[in-house]
Amino acid sequence: MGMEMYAADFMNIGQMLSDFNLIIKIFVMMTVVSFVNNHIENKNLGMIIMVFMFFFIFGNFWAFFGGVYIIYVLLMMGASAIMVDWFFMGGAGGQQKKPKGGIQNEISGVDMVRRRAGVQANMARMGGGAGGQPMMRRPGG
Amino acid sequence: MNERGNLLVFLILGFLGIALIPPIILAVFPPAKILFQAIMIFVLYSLVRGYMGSGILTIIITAILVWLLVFKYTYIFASVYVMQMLLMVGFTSVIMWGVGTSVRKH
Repeated sequence: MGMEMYAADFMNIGQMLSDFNLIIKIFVMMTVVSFVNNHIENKNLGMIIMVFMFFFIFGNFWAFFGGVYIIYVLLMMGASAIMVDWFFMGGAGGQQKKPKGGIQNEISGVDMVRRRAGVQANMARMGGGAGGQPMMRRPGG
Repeated sequence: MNERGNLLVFLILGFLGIALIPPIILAVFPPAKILFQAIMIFVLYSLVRGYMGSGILTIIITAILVWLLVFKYTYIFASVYVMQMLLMVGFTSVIMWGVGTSVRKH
């Protein structure tokens, strides 16, 4: 008795799935009974509708209704929060890559000063600039 | 595998790790198992009575569910129940945030 039993459950997976199927069917049945009792006051009419719903749900369409019920329960428990968190975490995970080389996107005062100094240094090296237009200077500067 | 894939793997591992804690506790401390089973019997009876009202059908359905969930699949049900509790109180967001930020640091 202990964790061996836990492992033994997974060994007999067919039996386990069959039992879980029964459990889900019981929960669906309870949900239908509760729904009909809450919405229909006439007991006889409620019984007829209940039988009709059982026939419809547990008949040929059980694979569909079982899946829908599981999704419904998960959503009611707040499983959508997991998806929201997952998309937030995944979106934040992909960090933007900085461009390699060339002019960087971010513009700041320091950046502008560096660029201007670089242009001035180039123009000084070229002897005043090919176009003859020196850098803008403040009057009297 | 890209960064999103890594994150998904670590999140699944994190959830599996947390889901494994209740069975380990139940296996290591037998009194915890008895306590868990006693609490679950009350919880299941209360749940079924909420759906069906008081009556003989409630007792029968509770007995079936107690046998299957509390005695036959104790460890699996413990994992599922604890994960459901964490989901309902919104603790899964904390798990995802913790795992996500830890993975991105490396």
